[in-house]
Amino acid sequence: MEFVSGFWFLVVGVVTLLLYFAWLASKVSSQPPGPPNWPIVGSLFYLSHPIYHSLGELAKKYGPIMCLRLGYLNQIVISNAEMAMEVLKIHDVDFASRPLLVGAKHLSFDWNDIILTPYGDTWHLLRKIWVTKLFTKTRLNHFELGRQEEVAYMVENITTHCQEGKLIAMKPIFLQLITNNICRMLFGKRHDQFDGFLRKNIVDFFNSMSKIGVVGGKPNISDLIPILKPFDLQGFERQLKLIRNEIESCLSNIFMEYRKGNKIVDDFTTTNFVEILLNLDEKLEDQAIMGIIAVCASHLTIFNLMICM
Amino acid sequence: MIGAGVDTTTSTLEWALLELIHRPDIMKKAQEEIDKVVGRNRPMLESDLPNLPYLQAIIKENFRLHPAAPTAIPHLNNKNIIISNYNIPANSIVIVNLWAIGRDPKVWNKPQEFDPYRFVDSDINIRGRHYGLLPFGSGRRQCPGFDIAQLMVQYGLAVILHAFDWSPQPGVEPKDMNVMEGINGFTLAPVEPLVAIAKPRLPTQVYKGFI
Repeated sequence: MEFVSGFWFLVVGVVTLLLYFAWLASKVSSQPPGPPNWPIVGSLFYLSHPIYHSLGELAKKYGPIMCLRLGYLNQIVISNAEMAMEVLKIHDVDFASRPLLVGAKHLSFDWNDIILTPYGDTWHLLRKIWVTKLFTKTRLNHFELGRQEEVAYMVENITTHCQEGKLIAMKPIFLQLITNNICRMLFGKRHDQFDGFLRKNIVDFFNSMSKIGVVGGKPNISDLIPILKPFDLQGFERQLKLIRNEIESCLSNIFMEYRKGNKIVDDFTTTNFVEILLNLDEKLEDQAIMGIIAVCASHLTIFNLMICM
Repeated sequence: MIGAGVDTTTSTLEWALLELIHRPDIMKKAQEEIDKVVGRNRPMLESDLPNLPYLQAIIKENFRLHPAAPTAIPHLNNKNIIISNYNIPANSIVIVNLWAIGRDPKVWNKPQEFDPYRFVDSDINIRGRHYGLLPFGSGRRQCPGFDIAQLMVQYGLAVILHAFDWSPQPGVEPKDMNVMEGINGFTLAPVEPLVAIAKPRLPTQVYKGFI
């Protein structure tokens, strides 16, 4: 008797286990295909530099929609036009948010920038300010003369090199063109047209922005394995906070200068973003203004920070 | 002012000039177009840009092969979504590999070749409506700096092509220039930073007129 009930116990156990595995398999197979997952590291072994290249190779094997596991993150990789349309058009709203990565948190000044901030009310407000106050057609036309002067500086710079018959490193030339254009939009003039205190803070601001982009663009293990977050093993967050403090201090000093005196701010005469943002009807916190200013200066730098190891 | 930075617009310009020095035939055509529209007796203006379709085709082709953000900025879904019968669990990080899409042989003929002609007389633009070419993304999270970035790239490239003839450093043939990406993983910079020789191609007084 005991033997029989033991037997049935075993049968029920095995069947349950089989059903469980079948359910697990169906669950897994309903996710997009992808390379095998190893414990903890997931599919990390299958990635190499440059990342877009190795993801492209994996897509040849697993198809235009793949699933990779990186630490505790589930990552979906889209590799053809049809699937891109599914994500960016058909399911636009569903996929409109952003991951809460440590680097993004600091680069966005605690989720106050239009690029990295998750989808929601803050993003909508930022979007509205961006479209109706900052990058309007009128405003872009205002800056046309500035852009014209900046290409003139670039041509002069290249001409000087020509006369000396020198080889020209192009990157610094382009970097100067773009940075000076952005500086004019944010602060109203090129950095070397300011004096003393303001000039120092503007130059320091751009230098710190450049540093935070490089640091924030590095992979951070705490993003992959959240349990490690409090330990900040690579000192990633510590470094970011240091640079962020530098930026905050430069911008506070700059805001202080721009707050002096009663300025009339309107759509036609105001020629810099700082004054516009300091005088919005929406009365943004300084922190939020810093986020907006920073994103203009940094462009995007951390687009794939979670996957390059 | 800034030492080393990771800058998308800068690397776009660097790539475009590199590809053109690599292909003198394409650079020559671009300069012919500019000479026809602007002439050689005055500086280039922003208002000239809409009249330079070949230059714009070059910029599109450059974005196709060298998207400044090759894997775009990651998206995220807050709830489970089904896409072509696959379940995408909530809180997945979604990467769109723009680099791979730009080189997809099913969409692009001879995808590895830099050939602006594929965009001449074509209605493909880079505003996020043609899903085979999305350098600024698409939808509500499309790059909000699109207009200003476009303007700076077009204007910057047009001006240096108008004002100078470009050639590689002595001893290097244009066709031997390296147009491979660097391997530092998170930017799409050329493997060797671009160095070049410039030679003025406009009358001297025009250069004075720039300022």
